[in-house]
Amino acid sequence: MSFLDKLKFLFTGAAHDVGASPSAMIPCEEALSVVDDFLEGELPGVSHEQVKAHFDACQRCYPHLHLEEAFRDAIRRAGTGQRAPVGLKLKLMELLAEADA
Amino acid sequence: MFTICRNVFLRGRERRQRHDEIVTETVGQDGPGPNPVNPVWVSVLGVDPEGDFFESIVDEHIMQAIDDLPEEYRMAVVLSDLEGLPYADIAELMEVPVGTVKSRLFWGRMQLQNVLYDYAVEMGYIAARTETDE
Ligand SMILES: [Zn+2]
Repeated sequence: MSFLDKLKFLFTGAAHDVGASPSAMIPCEEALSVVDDFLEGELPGVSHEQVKAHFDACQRCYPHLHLEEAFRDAIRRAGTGQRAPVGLKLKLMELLAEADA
Repeated sequence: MFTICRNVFLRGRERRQRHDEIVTETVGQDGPGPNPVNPVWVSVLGVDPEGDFFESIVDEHIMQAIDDLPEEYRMAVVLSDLEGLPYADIAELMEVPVGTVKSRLFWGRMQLQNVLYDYAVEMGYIAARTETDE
């Protein structure tokens, strides 16, 4: 399977291996398009439960959610375990100072 | 030894170019659009689809990769993923609409994931896609 075929595979077909009734299930495409908002807890126009139900049931989409969680966990871990690079810290302080002014 | 290093460098560069092409093809220049696809999601299929390789990357490298992001992406990623601020607060701080914050987060995270993926491949934390996969 080519790289682009794999890409197409991600966005074709209905929810994969879904146990719940199809009418209650949002499509894969919709679930994947709101991964960031779902993890942020700021979903627009779809409930957290609906999206969660999709990822709980869909073997095709679940790994993508898990990857995004693993990525965010790694950033948080790095941020607490490591001093921020000086340039980054200075820029952040500058931004916060501007916002206070 | 030099040849090995050079090959690793060139392979990394080819992979980055391929990622850049795919990002452009699938996401477009103006933002994530209706069907955003992260090229790392595709690269890890059959190798490490759940992204466990992120756990192996040392903190220092992750922070450096964040520091190397273009400024507008870096600030969005830092404020969201390190500081845990909601979209509305980041929008206020950066003086841009919430949609712009989401777009910058999307692009910033994608770029960061690509860099960390390449690093993980070079360090052997994850197997690279081989030509036979394509
Ligand atoms: Zn799905």
